[in-house]
Amino acid sequence: MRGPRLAAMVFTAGVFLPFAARAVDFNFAGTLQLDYLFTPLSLDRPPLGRRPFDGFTQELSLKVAADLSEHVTANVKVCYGCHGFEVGMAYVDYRLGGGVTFRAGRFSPSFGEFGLRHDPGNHRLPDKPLPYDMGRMLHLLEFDRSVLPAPYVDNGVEVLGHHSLGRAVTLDWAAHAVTGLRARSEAPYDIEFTQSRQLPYIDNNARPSVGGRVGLQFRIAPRTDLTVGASTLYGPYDNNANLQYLVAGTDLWLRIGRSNIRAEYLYRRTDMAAGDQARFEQPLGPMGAALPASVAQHRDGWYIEWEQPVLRNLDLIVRWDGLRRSGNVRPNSPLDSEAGISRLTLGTHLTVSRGFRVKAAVEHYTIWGLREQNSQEIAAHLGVVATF
Amino acid sequence: MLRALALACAIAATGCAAYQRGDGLSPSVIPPELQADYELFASRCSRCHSLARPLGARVSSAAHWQAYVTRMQRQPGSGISPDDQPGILRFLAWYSANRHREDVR
Repeated sequence: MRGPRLAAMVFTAGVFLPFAARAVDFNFAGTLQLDYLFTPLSLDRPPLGRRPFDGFTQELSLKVAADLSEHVTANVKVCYGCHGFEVGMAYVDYRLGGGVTFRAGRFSPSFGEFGLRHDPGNHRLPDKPLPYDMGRMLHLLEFDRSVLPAPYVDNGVEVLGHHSLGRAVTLDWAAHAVTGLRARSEAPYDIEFTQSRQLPYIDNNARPSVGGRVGLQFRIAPRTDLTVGASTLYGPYDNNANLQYLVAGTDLWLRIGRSNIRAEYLYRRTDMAAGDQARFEQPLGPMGAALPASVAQHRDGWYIEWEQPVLRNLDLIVRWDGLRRSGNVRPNSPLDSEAGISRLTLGTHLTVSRGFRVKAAVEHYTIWGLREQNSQEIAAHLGVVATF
Repeated sequence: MLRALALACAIAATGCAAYQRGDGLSPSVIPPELQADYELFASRCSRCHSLARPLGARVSSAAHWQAYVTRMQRQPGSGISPDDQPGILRFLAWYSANRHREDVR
């Protein structure tokens, strides 16, 4: 009950505190998405008996932004989804001169391009790209989630810069220090993303994680823009601060007229607690040698997405995305040491009325390295989203 | 899968036929002198979210729009430059004054 109670308190404070001050402009916004994920077909074998994610998922977010003065804005956002209520934002921005902003509180550290659009009201397909998936990819549990499930929300501080370099080039940069991703088990195999999102929102190892992003935008022509960026996150995640993670990514966005092409590549290196051969399937080192305290697993993922408006209220979207994992595995793992997913998605995004849209998509999965499972599967999404 | 695809196509076709209306405004309702400003607004403010967000925002005063656009401009990767602000704010001022009209709403 602590989660809903805290969320309600934070949201209530966010809504009513602005009224207590004079001359405060505030803005209320929200999103509601209901999506049905249908997994009807396996192309190689009969459908599996256990399909935990065949069904409805709902995401709700409510946000208040209060412009407390010319330089200060407070933002509070509460989300309700598969994990229950969560605080998605609770931070203050202080805008300094020269395009620099200081941010403190609970926020999504700047990383990649999709982070700006993680809200279901802001991305055109029903679900997220595989490197950012947070629960609706097929075989989620076998793969133990994606590269960096979005939104990644954390406590800390961030400094952001936005500068024009002439009329055609803009530079964005951000640097942050935050609590960091975490795992509460004593000998983790990986970051525990569900733990990282749960109360209490405090550090498990008293060592911050750091990171940042640099992006350049080029105005190539009046209706043509190009953005390229690079991001990173680094820090310890276990209770003793002995195991590290490094996440790095590059992103690209190209708009020509009303067409958008987006692409990202993400890589994550994560230390796994070793020291005991019984915890792993493959040898940790040469026979007779001392066992290492940790071994690394590697994950990478990518997407390339093309959004093409075909009518004033209808977009077609094509996306190719993927996720790979490599490294030693635990005994009886459902995965080989090299495993991955490649997915092709065809979707539509129909605006029925301003703020109310229908999303539909068909996804074709090709999976390798998943023992005793299908290598090709089909999934379909049908959902509605309202923004207000 | 084919049934799901057919269902999705049927919904899309029905919706398109019934409502030729997107998140933005019809260019025909916008004064000629603001057409370029609207194009700028529609281009810059649809990168991260749909146009329903700003058009649905309960903002009316010029000062509040200024704060709103500045806040968006400073989001990393917003793509909104300082040179874009005047045109975007001109359109939003007109929109605030005319949002009650049936053809604009």
